[in-house]
Amino acid sequence: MSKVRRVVGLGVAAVVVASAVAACGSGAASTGTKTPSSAGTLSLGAALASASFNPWLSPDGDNEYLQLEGAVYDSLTHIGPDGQIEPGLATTWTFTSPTTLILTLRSGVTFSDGTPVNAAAVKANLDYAKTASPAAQQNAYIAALTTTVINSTTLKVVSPTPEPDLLTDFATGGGFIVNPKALKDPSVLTASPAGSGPYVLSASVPGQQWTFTRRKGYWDAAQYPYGTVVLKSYASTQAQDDALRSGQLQGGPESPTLVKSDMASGLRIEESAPEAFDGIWLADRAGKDVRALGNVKVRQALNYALDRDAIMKAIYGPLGIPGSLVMPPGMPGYSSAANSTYTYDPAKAKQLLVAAGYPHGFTLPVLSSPAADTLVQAMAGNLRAVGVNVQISDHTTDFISQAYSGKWGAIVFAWTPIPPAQGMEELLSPTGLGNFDHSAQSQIDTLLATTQQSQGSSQTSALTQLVQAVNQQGWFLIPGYTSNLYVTSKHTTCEIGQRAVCPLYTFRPAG
Amino acid sequence: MAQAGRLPATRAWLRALLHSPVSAVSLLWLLAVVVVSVFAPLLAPYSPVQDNLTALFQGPSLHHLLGTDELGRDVLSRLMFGGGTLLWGAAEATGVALLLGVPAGLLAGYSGGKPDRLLSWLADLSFAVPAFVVVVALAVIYPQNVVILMGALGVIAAGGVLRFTRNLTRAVRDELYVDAARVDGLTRRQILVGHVLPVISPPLVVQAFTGMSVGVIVLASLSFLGLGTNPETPNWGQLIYDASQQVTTDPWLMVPSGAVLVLTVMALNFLGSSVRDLAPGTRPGVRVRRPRRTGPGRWLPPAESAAPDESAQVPVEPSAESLLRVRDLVVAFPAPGEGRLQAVVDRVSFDLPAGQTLGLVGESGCGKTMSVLAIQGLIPAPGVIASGSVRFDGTELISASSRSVAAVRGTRIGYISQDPMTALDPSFTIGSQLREVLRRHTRAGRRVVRERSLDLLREVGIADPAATARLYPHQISGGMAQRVAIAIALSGQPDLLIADEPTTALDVTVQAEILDLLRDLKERRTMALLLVTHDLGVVADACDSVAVMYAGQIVEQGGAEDVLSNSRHPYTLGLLSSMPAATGTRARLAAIRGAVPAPRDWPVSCRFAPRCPLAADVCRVGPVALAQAGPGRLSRCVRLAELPELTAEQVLA
Amino acid sequence: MVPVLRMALGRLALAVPMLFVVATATFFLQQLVPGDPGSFILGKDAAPAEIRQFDVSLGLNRPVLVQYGAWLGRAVRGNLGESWTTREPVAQTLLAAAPVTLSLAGLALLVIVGLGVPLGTLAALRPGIIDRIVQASAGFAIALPNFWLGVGLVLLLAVDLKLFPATGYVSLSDPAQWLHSLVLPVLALAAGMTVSLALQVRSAMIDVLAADYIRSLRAAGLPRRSVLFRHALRNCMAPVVTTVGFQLLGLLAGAVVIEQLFNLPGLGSVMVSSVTEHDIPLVQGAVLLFAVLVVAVNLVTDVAAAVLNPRARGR
Repeated sequence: MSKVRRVVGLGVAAVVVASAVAACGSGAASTGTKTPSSAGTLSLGAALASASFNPWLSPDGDNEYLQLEGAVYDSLTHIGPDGQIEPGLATTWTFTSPTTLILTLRSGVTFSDGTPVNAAAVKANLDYAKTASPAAQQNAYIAALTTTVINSTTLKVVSPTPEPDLLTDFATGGGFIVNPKALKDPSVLTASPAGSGPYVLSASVPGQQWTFTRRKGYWDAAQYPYGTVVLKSYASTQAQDDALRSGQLQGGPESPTLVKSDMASGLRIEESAPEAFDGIWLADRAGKDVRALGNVKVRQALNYALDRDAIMKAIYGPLGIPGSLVMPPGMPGYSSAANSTYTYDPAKAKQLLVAAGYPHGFTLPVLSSPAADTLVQAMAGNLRAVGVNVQISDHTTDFISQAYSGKWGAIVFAWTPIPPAQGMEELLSPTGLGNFDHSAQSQIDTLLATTQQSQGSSQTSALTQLVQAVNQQGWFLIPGYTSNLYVTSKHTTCEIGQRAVCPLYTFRPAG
Repeated sequence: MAQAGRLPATRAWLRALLHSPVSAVSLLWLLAVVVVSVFAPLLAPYSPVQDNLTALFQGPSLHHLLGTDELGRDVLSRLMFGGGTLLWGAAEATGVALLLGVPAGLLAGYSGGKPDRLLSWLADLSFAVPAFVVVVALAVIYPQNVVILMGALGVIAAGGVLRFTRNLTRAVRDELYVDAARVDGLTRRQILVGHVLPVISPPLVVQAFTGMSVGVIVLASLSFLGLGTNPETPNWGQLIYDASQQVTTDPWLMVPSGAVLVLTVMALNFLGSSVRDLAPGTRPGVRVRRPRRTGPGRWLPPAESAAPDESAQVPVEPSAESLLRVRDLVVAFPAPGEGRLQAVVDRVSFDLPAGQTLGLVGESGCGKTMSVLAIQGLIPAPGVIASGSVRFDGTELISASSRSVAAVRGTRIGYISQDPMTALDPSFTIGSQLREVLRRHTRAGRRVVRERSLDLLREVGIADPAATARLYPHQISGGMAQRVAIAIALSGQPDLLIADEPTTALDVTVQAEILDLLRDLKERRTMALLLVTHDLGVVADACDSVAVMYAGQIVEQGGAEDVLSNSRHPYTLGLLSSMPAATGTRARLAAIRGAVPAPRDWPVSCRFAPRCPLAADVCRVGPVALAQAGPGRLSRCVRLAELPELTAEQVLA
Repeated sequence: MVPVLRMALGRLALAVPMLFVVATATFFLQQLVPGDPGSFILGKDAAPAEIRQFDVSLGLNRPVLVQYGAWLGRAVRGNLGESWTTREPVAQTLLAAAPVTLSLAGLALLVIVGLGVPLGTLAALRPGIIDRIVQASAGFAIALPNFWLGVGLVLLLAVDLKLFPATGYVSLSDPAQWLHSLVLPVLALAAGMTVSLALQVRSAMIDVLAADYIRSLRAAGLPRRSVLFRHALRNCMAPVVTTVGFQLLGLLAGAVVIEQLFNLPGLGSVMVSSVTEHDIPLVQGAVLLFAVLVVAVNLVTDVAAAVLNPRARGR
């Protein structure tokens, strides 16, 4: 199952201010310019677009929404610091067969109105996911499940095909349990959550700011020392950074370009292992629109033209890791041998272009968005040096429809291949979300099928071969990998581990 | 407001424009921006997209005069490529607005009627449109299309241009020369293009500059918001946005992009205001230029030692104390650019006994108004009373504190000025102004003040005081306005009324009425009247004594009848003979040959000599003093003896 | 006052058809938008059937004129539809955002008039240091883009000196914080216009002070102060009011940029985000609301100018 972190890509992530509604008189929490960071109020920046408190409609995946939903809902499972599955509402789980999962629930947990959280409630949620409309992306997987209540704390979940990553789905947006009473009229969930989580929503400026206050009698209160949590949405990373530096915020997702100056100002940076990459999809592998791209030699030439070290350092500062594979280091499928195939070798790039029949280069139109401008320009500089005339077109409001229109040979995009098998499926399969031109290639398709059907170490070696094949085919122009970064003030710590953002339960005040 | 006739030739314009250092620099800057952006591919040291990932965020250096940005690109080069779009976009918006608005405005203003109503309604509609917001909304459909966005801005702005052009055209439409053209048989289009358009062009050019400057800011703002941007050759607005995203890493980046934008907008603004200031007839009224501050400085003294003490020569009985006693009054203004004071009233002396009327006569520019303003302490800055004495009812006014002088105004001395229509505050009703002054002078309650105001209006001959009091100055005639001004002047029951050319601006028929009124009031209230005029007929009618002024000096003084029937100065003779009544059977109106000299051209010797038929060398030797010319008569002519032989014909041209 | 009332009512009557035209134009804006709103909102993973269902639910499959009639009918009753992204009523979103923009524009106006008029008057009266400063800085201050100034103010006063918040808006329920959160945005927005108004006041005042009636009133015995405040200022007001009216319109436009910069959840932010998210009903609603504000400002300006200038009232 794919966990596409930023489903709509860099295009829409560019401007993330949703429609702004100021609630008059709702007493939005005012933070002075110097908020003492006792275990009092925790204010965090969060890049949340139109957020709704119906988790079955929210963009899923390991992303910032987990903070929002995680404040008011309990999840069946969590992602731990090393990427392993940890118990949440579900205490134990067993795959009795590749398609059958038995879940045991924690007892004694109640929703904010006192209703008990039991197997029936979980079943109500999983059933609702089938009909939730418009649906979140992973609901397609959940919708195929058949849930049976065994007793008040035990559930049996059956899927039509083997879904080994089901528990990861539960941990990343597909397992927030909503009060079944609210599911009867889900429209109220848009603004008022009904969950069993550590906080309740006490005030909100929809699209801008959400204030949560701690709920009495929560079963895991020790993990949440802050009495009030405020999540604020910002129009730009610079605006959030200003707020952080001026003391209005105690933390927020960090932009790699600000790492150097934030570290210099004494702010703390939490860094996960690398798990995502931005780059240029050489989407037109058949060469329909840009004939040159149909030739594998050309695609390889472009890969040789990139000075990955310089690009990553310039764009991502000290924390960027250069590489060309579609799997970041540390994840199954990555191999450093494959990763060192494309050294920075403009001479070789030119040679390959000549051999492919393009001694004078060619024109490459690239679909981009203003947020990706810096990265694309840096890469374009390298490509121009070998004779490729890069023409960058920016689209903001219609980036997505442009990308899927099939008109573009090269598209700037981003991807988080987690979990690995699902990530590759979505990226490479002809019907996958990340395969804009629905490209098919026999070797890649075969290897892809193998990875989907295998498990454990055989899956890992299948992935490795797959990643290598993709690398050889030059389907992507990837400069390197990015970690998830989280920045906090001097007086606050959190743990990002292998996650997209620091979960709320890891924040603690510091000296 | 608009003047008939041609504009100064373009070359003269350009010369004038370049003369001012500010507008010359602005023009040069704009030209530089245009040239640089057109030839940027040749002039820029680097390509705007050429990055150097090893040289990020560098400060200014020899290789990169303005430093490098977040990808190591040369800031200077990016700036050079970044101005053209802004100027083009602004030019497009301005051009569209003018192309649509000017012809429509010409039509609407000239034709009136239905086309005017329809076009004006369209213009008003455009005012209801929130222009910037609409352009932002259009970005939904045409996100990066600067041409369409700026075009839309131009269309919306055309409404304002339409209304502006229409108003200008209307003002010009009824000018005589347009009528003449119409009579000549020119078509409407020929008239509009050939006669109207050239005259109204200067304010339109000013509008064009304003439009350009607004257009540049709008496009920069749009780019700052991420609309209308170009990834390869970003414009300055985009560059400012990029810089703002790096501001904590490298604040310097904000400076170059901001600076060029500010300088360009400033240049456009300065050029616009220069055109407005230089073109004729574009601003109603005189452009008030604030003179440079000058110190007391040296001032040009007459050869005082040569002149005998004139104060001994004033024809008044030594025992009687006049109500008003002016001695050697000197009023001076700083000479522009010369650092010294120039006298405009040069040692003027006269007496006015209580209850009498003194006429102060002379052509415009001789200093009579300044003399009477000096009496009230109302000389406009930067003029000063350089020396002399003004004694009113025994109190010296010149050395008195400003508060004592202020206390005299209105209560002891009243004043009415020449043009009644501008002498009343147009924003207040007649009644309210009158009552305000009355309140100042009486301690009575509201009802008493109101009654007294009505009484005053009745006293000055206004038939329906209550109705008149509710009117505004623009709603009454000139004659009525002057009566109101007199009423205001009388509200403090002054002992002296100064009337500065009270009838000059009025119709002939009304003049006599006002003079009669003044005479009656003077009698009834026992006031002294200081009547400033250039009309000897008024002197004959109303004055007891007269002082004739020329070029800042009194040249003849004495009883009115006496002076008029038996003038003792060539200038007075000339004035008398040049009166229309005096020409009698003469075919042409006569005038004294020559013209009144400006104060800076005043010679130390006789100032009338250049125009005087009696002038001889003795007149040009040194200062001429006022001398006795008979009992109670003074004259400033050294050739008094030869005067009887002078005939009218000799004095006149 | 009656002629003024008549004029105001006349303008109001004209305003209604104008708003109608603007509203109609914004509706048909939607027809020009390329692409299928359904596929954009739902994302490419949505099945074609779902997209069609989405469009139907929004009524987008009906003939254009039918849609227009329905929209107009609802709009007249205050129902401007639902936002495509948040599903909240557009009218509610706009009404909640309006106080922010009105606070920003209102405070900016106070600063502009409250500082600009005295500054201009002083500059006119005293040709000394104040006059020099006003004139010299005027060209620069007017040309400075408000967003550039805003970034500088944030850097200096919020991030470096921590005197004011860098972003965010606090509602009126906490007046002190509300004011505190608006200081920097208001400064950025109002700076240039304050100087511009001061220049206007200065030149109007110089012209007025040279007028005959000023001299006549002083000759009649009125003290300098009352002539200045009651008569001179009064006669400056008509052109000043017209200028301020234009500046108010500029404030509304400037608010769009400043709200983005300072993260203020006002109408400007709604405008920008609804445009970038292709949320057509919200775009339409926002444009309409801005048009209403513009018409209101124009009306108030015209009435004020007429009240202040008896000659402009007509008989």
